[in-house]
Amino acid sequence: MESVSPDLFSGNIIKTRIRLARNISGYRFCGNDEKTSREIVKKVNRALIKCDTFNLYYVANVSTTVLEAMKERNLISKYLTENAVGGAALINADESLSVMINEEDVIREQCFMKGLRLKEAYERLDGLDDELAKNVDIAFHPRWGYLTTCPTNLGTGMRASVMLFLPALSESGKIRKVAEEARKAGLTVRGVYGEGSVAEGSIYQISNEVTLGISEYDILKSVEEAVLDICMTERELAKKLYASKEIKTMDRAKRAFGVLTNAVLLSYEEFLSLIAEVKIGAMFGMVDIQDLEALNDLTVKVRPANLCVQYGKDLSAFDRDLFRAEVVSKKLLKLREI
Amino acid sequence: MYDKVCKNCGTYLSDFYETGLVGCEKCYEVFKDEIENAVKEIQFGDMHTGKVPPFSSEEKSLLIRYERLFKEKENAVMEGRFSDVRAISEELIALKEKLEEKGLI
Repeated sequence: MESVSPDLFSGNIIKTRIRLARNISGYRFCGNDEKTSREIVKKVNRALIKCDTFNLYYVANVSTTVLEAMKERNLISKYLTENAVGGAALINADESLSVMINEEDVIREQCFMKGLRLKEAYERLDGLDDELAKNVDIAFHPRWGYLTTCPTNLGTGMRASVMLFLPALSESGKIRKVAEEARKAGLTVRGVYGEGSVAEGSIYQISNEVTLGISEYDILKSVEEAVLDICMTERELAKKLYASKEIKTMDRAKRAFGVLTNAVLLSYEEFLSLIAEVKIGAMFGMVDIQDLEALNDLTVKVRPANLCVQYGKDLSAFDRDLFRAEVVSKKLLKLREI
Repeated sequence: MYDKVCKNCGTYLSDFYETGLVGCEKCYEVFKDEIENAVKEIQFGDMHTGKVPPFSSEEKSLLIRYERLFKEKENAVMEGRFSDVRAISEELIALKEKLEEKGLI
């Protein structure tokens, strides 16, 4: 494949996430009792103390809304909040690193970066992982590699994911074919929001399915190649669907902008579908917004729990829709001025 | 029906079939055959080719390597991989000499 710069697809590529699953030799992989779980948290916290300035959160001591907001920002998982005994998370200040403790595996390290930065994110996490292994006896098998609770994570224990905005593939239904092709290459494509084959807001995540029999760098390479390939297909299709129908696309984008900046009540589902229209318009220069990253950030900021955290207290569904409309309108009008 | 159990963590083979999850590292020895079958279906291979955890000291690293090779040799004997047994044995002898020199064993 001809080398393609990810910068070409800055409107489509949202963020990169690397996750490493690890367990500690001599401890159960999951389902430890409260006392042992606490002991593990202290062990991991001590091991990583030199790596970064982490805040330690015990799931039991954090409010449901704040936990939900962390989940919405992908910092912690549903499993950690619902199933784990003594679940905890170490999260650094800029939220680029998160270490879940007593999850499905005893340790799940994560690194997040904006855009397509798989190698950079892996290398950052690799450094953290080395520090951990220097201080904690990691469960490792010479043949099977890093031992995990679920054999689907064996070997590297790594999940490399990239979040993508794919409106043309989504709208045309061609995303199904893309997902099938990805599966043949040991990768998976799924919608981030909503259920079923059409993702709300056209936001998808591509990640490796296979973790054993392939090195970390080969996984990163295959995910990166697939991402660029998918983005190229999306771009070609978007030219046909949107760029060649300039008036219609502009009308859709400006109408969406109009609703988003004038609505009094705005549900998250409505926001997702309208912001996708605005983003398409912005990508083709039909709406006066340059900062596409800010639109991605807004998509997270106005999710239900994050909205409550921003407001400073729990809100009813009605009040959330009211506050969301205000936040979105202010932000979009400001972005248009820049 | 006989249900295998991992005495280290109490996970039964039927639990593994039901949830797809194991409880501890010993489970990988107790349910070795069953896990191998599962791995064949979901993974690209059955040999890890990626990162190996780094250790705090050369001594610790050598000791762990020695223990691992020992285990690997046992597996190779059990599986009748005799050429592997020979290669591992040679490496084990060299490693043992190194460890003895350092007074670690």
